[in-house]
Amino acid sequence: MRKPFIVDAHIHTGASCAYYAEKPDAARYLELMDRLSIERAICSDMLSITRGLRHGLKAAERVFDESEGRIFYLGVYDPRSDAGRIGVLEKAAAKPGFLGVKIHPSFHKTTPESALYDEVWRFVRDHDLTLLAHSWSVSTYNPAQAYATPERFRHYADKFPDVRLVLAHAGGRGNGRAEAVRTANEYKNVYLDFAGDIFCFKYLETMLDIVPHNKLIFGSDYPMFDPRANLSRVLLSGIGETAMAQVLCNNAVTAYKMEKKC
Amino acid sequence: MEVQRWVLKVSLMKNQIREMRDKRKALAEELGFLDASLWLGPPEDFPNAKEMSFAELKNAAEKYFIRGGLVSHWYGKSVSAQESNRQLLKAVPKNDAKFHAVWTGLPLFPREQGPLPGQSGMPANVKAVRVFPKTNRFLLDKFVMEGLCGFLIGRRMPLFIWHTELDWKEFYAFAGDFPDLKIIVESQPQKILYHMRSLMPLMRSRQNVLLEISNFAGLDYLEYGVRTLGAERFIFGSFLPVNDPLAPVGMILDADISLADKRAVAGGNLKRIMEGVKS
Repeated sequence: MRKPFIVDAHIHTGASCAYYAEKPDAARYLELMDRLSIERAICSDMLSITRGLRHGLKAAERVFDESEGRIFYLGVYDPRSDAGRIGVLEKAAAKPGFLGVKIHPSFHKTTPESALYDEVWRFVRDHDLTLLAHSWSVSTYNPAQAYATPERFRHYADKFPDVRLVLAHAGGRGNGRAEAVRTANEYKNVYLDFAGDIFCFKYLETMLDIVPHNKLIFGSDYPMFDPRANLSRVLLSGIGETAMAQVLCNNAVTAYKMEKKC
Repeated sequence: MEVQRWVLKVSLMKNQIREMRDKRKALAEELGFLDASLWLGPPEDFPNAKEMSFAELKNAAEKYFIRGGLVSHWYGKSVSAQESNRQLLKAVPKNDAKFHAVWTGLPLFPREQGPLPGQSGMPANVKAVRVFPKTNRFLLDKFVMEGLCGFLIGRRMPLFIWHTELDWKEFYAFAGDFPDLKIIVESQPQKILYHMRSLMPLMRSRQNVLLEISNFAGLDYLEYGVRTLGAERFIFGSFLPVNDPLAPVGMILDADISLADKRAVAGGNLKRIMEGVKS
């Protein structure tokens, strides 16, 4: 019998004001997990992204339990409302489904170098957790993305070299990609996920030529994007089965230290 | 012991990967895609994309299960309609049975020097016309567009348009003004998912509007579209060489729709439209 093995390292649950999704909940995602051989996923829920740390954690814990330990989660730290509330994360860190923290400088309109982020970097370091950071390229039609260009995360990556940092979307579709690649090559603990619509031609082949094979992580950005779009991009690419196994599973397990949670 | 367990796990994973890949590959071969969105010329605003010659584009397409389709030129957006059409005249062989051209169009009045749709000299391998009303600074309105649209309807030729080149309210009226014109809204070059709440009701109201799906990758979008609007309303496109054809290919392969519907979206719909065009 076929056993699910894929880790989707970048999903969300919940509806968004910005885009349409018919059923953006965990139940629909679980159906897709079973269909697509996805064993585990890592979620930062929409309520936490939009409203801050205290609003979504309870629901995320519930989703973890209801999914029988398949949908892990991250706390989402909004420095505008969560500064000084690291105690909420301290409590969450003891829970079995909690893997780390997500920061989203573009959405939260806070520069990645801001002193407000210091406590969250300190927190993930002290608890041996992982930090997921939204990253993108400078965009003419979405100026807020300038908050999250990959080189801006070096400020804290230099201060906290032991922290495992995943640059979400690997710097996006534009010039941010080259900087994300440079950062992943220079920093031992920096990983890249390609969640979302980074649908660039020959993306995986190109990326695996220029970043170590243990650094690139599969993600879908559910429910903004359907996991089926990125899945065939891996399975039908020319990267070889060993690299596919790394990208679809092993790299996320290492980056998010999931071995103990299996 | 730990290492042995790990090696076994990787080996099992590779077996599953092989099985999943082979199953998808077989279905993709069977479907044989026709592509409404193949592009020559230097891509604009996509710094990681590389320009391809016609031969390179055709070769790349064939590697991704694409058996034919419609070729456009970036100059239609970045230089001029005329220069784009001139480039396509040179690049796309008129005797190629599988790959045809999409010319860029302008309103027929005031008259401008060609090569342009609606004038003499448009070759038979042009199977569709695209407009860029925002870029070329004209209204998508009946009093501006009736000449070009009349020409296209007479030839049963579809009109292509990027969703970033239209305003939904204006487009709703426009599509209603020309019910005999097939209009294919293109999901590029930015996220169309932000417009779904306008696009889907518009497509329900305007039966002559179809959607090219290279960037139609939101959760369950294809299934929902096929279920509510019908498979005949969706056209496969890759946006090659900017985008990876495997994203829309994967959406079709894994969609929870019938094989007949997959065939229609993958190529059947575009084939029917292209065959209906009168030279």
